[in-house]
Amino acid sequence: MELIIYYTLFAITVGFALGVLLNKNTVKSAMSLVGVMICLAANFLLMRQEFVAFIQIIVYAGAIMVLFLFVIMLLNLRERETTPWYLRSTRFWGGALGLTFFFVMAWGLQVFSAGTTEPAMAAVQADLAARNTPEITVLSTKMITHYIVPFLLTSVLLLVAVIGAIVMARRQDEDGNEILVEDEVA
Amino acid sequence: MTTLALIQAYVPNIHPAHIMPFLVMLVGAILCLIFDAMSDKQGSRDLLPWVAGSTLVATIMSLLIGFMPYNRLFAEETFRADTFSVLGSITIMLACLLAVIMGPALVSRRNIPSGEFYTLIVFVAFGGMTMALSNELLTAFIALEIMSLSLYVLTGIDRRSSRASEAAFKYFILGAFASAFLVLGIGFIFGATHTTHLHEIAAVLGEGSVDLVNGGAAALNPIWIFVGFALLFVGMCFKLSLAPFHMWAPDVYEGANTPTVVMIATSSKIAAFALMVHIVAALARWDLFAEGATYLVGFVALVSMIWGNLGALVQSNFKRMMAYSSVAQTGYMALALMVLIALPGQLEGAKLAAAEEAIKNAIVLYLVGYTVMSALALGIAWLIGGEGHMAGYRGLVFRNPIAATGMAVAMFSLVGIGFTPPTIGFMGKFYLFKEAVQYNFTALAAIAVVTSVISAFYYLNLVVTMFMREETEEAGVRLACMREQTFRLASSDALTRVAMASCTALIFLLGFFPNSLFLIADAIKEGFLR
Repeated sequence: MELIIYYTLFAITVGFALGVLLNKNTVKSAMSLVGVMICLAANFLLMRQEFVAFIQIIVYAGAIMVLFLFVIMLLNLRERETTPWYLRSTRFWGGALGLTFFFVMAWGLQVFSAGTTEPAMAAVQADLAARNTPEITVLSTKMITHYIVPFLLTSVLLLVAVIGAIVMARRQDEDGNEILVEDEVA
Repeated sequence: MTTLALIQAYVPNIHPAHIMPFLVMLVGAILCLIFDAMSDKQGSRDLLPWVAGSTLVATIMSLLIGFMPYNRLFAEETFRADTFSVLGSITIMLACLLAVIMGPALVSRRNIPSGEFYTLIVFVAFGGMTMALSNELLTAFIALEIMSLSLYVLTGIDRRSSRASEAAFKYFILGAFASAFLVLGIGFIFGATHTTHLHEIAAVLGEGSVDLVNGGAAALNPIWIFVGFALLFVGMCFKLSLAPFHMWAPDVYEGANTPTVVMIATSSKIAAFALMVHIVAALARWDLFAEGATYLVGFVALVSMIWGNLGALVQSNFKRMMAYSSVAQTGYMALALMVLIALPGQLEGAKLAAAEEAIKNAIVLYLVGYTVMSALALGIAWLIGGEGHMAGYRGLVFRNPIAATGMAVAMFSLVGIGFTPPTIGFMGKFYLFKEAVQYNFTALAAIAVVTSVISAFYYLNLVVTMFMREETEEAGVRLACMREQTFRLASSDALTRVAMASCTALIFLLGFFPNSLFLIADAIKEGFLR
């Protein structure tokens, strides 16, 4: 049963992913990406990772995709009129490289995952089953104990991101002077 | 006890004294921001570089005093200070200090928001130091992002320059792409070993099995680690501008302002190398890894040495030449990294530890040397306005003999091989190539020497232009134009000259006494300053 669901999901995910790439319309592309995110969330549910599944929906499908759509609509992108000659074949070479990367990875994993023994898989599954505590408890406990330093550092990262965004987005007049808030009010 | 009670009873094992350098930096960065917000329109903002500069100096002091335990894990096993990371951190601070010193001239002329400029420089240093000291992959990744985000913004902070905006955009897009590889690599390694702490990864690889939460154990499938390392290495190659992932470097070097280029060329490389060395040391406990990774890293080193040096040959812009030269120089260091990976296959036990220490020291010596050399070259170019076309250097010796001599010292030291025994460039390369030959990578070492000889063409070409070509009117105009764009401030210029003089002194000091660098490390290790 699980296998059937898994393969159905797999097909839908790949379909949506192709939709992201092949759609000429950026809004449609973004909506396909929402589909990919939701399918991924379903995959996580299948692995009994409820917390990650809901984070996937709330953060990615909800917040980030809305942001994407805003940006797309604000920029009002149109199709590029002319393509210079040296860029015409990028699609082909890019696709070829991507496919090569995919097959190399697939081949590598196929060859080497032969080493994964059945008992080892069973042990992992037993481990998952034995974990009676909700995973959100496990996750949050780790986050504020053993992983507290990266957790705290994230705040520094966000501070840098905010400073950077303000610097890059601040408006300037023709001479390049900063337009300050006080000036606008006055 | 319930889980909640357990968490409430848990006190994170972080000693405030151990993380003193981090606290100093964060307080300094916040002070910069508050100072900027509280100051009036101009005037008191001129004090900002002093706030940022004293933050960096205070961090160097706290590193030297040695609050951190040496060669021992601290702060929830997240950090570990060894010779490489401490010397690297100090060098990162010094490079950022140079950027702070050069900053005021840029800020006043190009109308750059000064509060953000200095704050971001402090954050570059913070991210670099955290990366160099980290023993945990998540922390390293977040630190890398702190450093990179600051550098992206600093690259494009001159909003009136379209070149700077282009450079920042390219750097940002490619950097984000590389980060994706890095995270995927970390994910694979975590999936295989169930941990992100480097010492635990080493332990898991030593045992060959993963402990599960329910007390059982699963057999380790090491290929995931190799896939993980390959992806992680690709991400790091971007940060290190190793060929064939170096395409961004010339454009970013050319477009970004010179203080930022100093940091991109030095701080980000030191931090990334420190992290790579630590990761490699953790993974090298697994035999198969050495076999595959040696080829991977060796290939990248080879391509970087050849591509970087050949690319630099045809450049006419000074900063673009420095960009290709940095690709080549990093290639030499990647060579040593490869030897470090291959080592466990050749030696064992105490001998192995000693040999690893020797190679790490060779890399850190070269990193420090490279920092000093490129800081000297870029700093002098900044002072005389020679960041543009190299025709501006014609007959420089007649106009400004001191600058020409300083630049010549930097160039001779960057060549390294053959010409100039008592410089850091020579000593650094000597130790790197010696390690490669000692552990049977003679062919690669020979290629390294040959490419070094090729590099002499373009480095010495500049020296010839400065000393043996007629001075032309056009050359003077070129330099004056460039200087005009970043107006001079007497105080900033004077301090930059002092910094350049100390760089020149360091090139010779470390050239004659390379071991003096490790005396500092030993002093910190002994903790007698404490």
